[in-house]
Amino acid sequence: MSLIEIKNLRKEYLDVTPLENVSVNIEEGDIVSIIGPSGTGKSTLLRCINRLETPTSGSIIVDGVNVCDPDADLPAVRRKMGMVFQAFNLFPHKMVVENIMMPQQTLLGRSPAEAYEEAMEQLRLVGLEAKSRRYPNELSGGQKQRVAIARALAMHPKIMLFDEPTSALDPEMVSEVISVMRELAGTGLTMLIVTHEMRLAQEISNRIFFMDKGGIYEEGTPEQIFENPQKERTRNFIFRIRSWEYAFTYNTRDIYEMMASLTHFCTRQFKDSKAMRNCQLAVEELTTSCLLPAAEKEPDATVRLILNAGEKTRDVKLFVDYSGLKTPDDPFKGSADEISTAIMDRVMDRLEDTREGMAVYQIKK
Amino acid sequence: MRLFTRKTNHRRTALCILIALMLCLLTAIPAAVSAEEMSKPEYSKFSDLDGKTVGMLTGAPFEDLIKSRAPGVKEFQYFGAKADMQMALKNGKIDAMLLNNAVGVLTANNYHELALMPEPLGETDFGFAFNKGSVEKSRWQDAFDKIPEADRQNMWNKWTGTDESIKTIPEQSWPGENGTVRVASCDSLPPMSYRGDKGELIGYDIEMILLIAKELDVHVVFDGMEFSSVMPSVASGKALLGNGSIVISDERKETFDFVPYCPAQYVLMVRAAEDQPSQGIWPSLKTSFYKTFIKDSRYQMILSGLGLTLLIGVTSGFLGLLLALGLVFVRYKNRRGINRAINVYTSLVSGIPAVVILMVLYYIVFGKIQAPAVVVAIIGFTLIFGARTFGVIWNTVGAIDSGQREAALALGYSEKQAFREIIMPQVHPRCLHIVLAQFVSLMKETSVAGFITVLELTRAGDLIRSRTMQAFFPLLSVALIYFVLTRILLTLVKMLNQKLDKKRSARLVKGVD
Repeated sequence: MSLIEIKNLRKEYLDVTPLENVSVNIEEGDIVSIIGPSGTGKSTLLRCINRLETPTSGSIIVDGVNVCDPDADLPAVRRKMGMVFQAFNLFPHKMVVENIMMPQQTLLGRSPAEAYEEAMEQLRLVGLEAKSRRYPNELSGGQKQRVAIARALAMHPKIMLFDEPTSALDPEMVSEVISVMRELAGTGLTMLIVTHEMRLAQEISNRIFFMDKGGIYEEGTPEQIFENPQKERTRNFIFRIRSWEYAFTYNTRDIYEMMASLTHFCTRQFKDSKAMRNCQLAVEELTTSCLLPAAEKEPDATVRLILNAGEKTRDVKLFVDYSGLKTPDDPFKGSADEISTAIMDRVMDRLEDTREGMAVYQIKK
Repeated sequence: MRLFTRKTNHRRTALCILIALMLCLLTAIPAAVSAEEMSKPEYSKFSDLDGKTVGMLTGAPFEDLIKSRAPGVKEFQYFGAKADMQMALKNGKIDAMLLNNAVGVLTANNYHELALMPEPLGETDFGFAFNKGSVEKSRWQDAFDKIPEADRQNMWNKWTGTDESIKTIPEQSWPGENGTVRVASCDSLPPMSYRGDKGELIGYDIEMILLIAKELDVHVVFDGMEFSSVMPSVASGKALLGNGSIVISDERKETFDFVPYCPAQYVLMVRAAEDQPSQGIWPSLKTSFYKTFIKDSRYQMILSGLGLTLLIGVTSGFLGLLLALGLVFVRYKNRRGINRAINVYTSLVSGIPAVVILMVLYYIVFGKIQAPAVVVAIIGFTLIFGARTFGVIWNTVGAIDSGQREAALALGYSEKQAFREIIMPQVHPRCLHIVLAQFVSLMKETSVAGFITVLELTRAGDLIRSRTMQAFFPLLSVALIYFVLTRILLTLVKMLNQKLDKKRSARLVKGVD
């Protein structure tokens, strides 16, 4: 018997039905990453499993108990499943160690001394022993999330549910949470992870659910899903997460927003900070010294930038689509000053034009 | 440092306001003059009242009567207590006040800065008010008729005279085999019905009622109250009859039956014609202080008033808080019927002034039940405080992130456990100071309990005022007591907060350290 058996699960809200018909089994020791576009029921699926959401129909059997049964002892089933939330949800009025002790004392009847020992052990595992007497608001986001993981683990669950554990974190704190999860993956715990962190999904899971169209649209190993997706929507999604696109007109330009969005994309794609820096320099110089001066004459024309991190090859290409501009002159000739030209030459090479109104660059590594 | 300066400024502002208040009252200190003979009135003909303002007690509907004799009267003002009206007359806020002859003669005897107009407005009788169609009324009438005319005249002379020492009432020493009756009595209209030195009700009316009661062999319990509350008490059945030098009028006869017991006149009282020589400010302050606190141990009235205020405030604060927490708990279950019931309750209570709620409870809800007024006041303020506190706490519950509940449930807490151990502990510190501030205003608000005959602090001050006609010390001491009381409470709040902060920053783990 599987650890979690989901049969014909359906969840309707008043105006939308994120889960139409989901049936899947999850075995003990599985590490499942659930990926997909937003609004496709990834979190809903997770929250149905521990009944934070009530399914419209279908059944979910967790370790032999149907949680959809109205008479099910939900607190007992939930004790077998730890959950980690996007917003951490630590108890702000209690210190870190108390956050971990309290559920043990209330729900498992452990003495304060036992609970304290367990809490300190879990904190040691997530590297936060030294912060045990802090209040949650005195911690960084990454630290909070690690405390939340420790709190769930202190209850010794069979299953861990992660609902976008890194989405609320600043980019520099994502990796500390990911390392803890990576450690956890080695312990044989069953884990279900809803995430946008493709690196994490690829690295630690043995199964990937790609969710779309009201259910699990494609399922497979990380290799199957990331290297060789079979279905069209999966392919589009996987490709899209490898490319960054930004369109602006002179009148609606917001260079800071554009750069922030690029930085966000780069931190998820490149482990290598040089590649990231080169991408940023290339986009910034091209925009300020070539594209904006050219676009100023036609303030409503759209210019698009596309950065493609490539599928298998790690080639990074920057496409500049200036076909919206009516003047067909190449905007990259002569307008940039010496310093800008020098910077651009250092970070990228221009490739042969393939289409009218489109320039393609290869970002140097 | 800046914070400190600002705090001192606050304190200084409060002090300034207090001093300003004192000065205002100082100007209103009445001159204490010894009573010798009556003064001449400022206005002696009804036509002198053209364009003037006339005051009367609430519940004494005699506008038409006054207009029929003095058609030029510009407007009427209404007062809850005779003392206030008298003060207004003295200070020139009104130009004449309507009284009955008994009250009028005594007032003119005691206060030479006031005088009666020579001609009465009209003649009628004083009567004891019974509900329309009351069977008891004719028995009381028969018993009254047996009292000899000479005895009545002696009583009149005794109560309207200036010799205070003989103004006593008989003990209820008869067996009282025919039961006990309740009487609603005005407690501030000397000489007919007012409070004696020990707070007991005395007066011509009271003695007359006791004489009749002796004849009928019943015992009497007197409930003292404002004049305006007497008739409603009879109408609601709380009392068998009402007294307080009630003048029988056609309008009143429509709702009540009367046993007339004494001829009455409507008279108008005005200021005396010539200015009275006034004492210097310090001697008059001294007299005022003596009259307010020392004479007849009146400070005891203030103390027992304070006791009642504390009793009502603290009891209803505590019960109201329990009520609010109970409501929050059932509201959390989110059942539609219960939600609606709570909504109706809170919107009703918050939409009606406290004093009206108290009166509705006293005269209507508990109209037929002989619940002591203090108990009704506690019930009323419990309901009021409960509704307000519920609102504050429930809003705070709503402001707690829903993730807290979800995190608790996901860990395996039941809904009840999550509410009790995760949600509420976060709610308490957040709304503590608001709830306590509400409690402070509740303490002050209990001052309206006087409207349902409770002799709490404000009402005690009013009574002293009506006895002494001194506004300064009764008002000032009452104001000061409330002020000190709220300061103490606010200091306690501050200390409590500091203690909580200290506990939090100690970072001790319970059961481990």
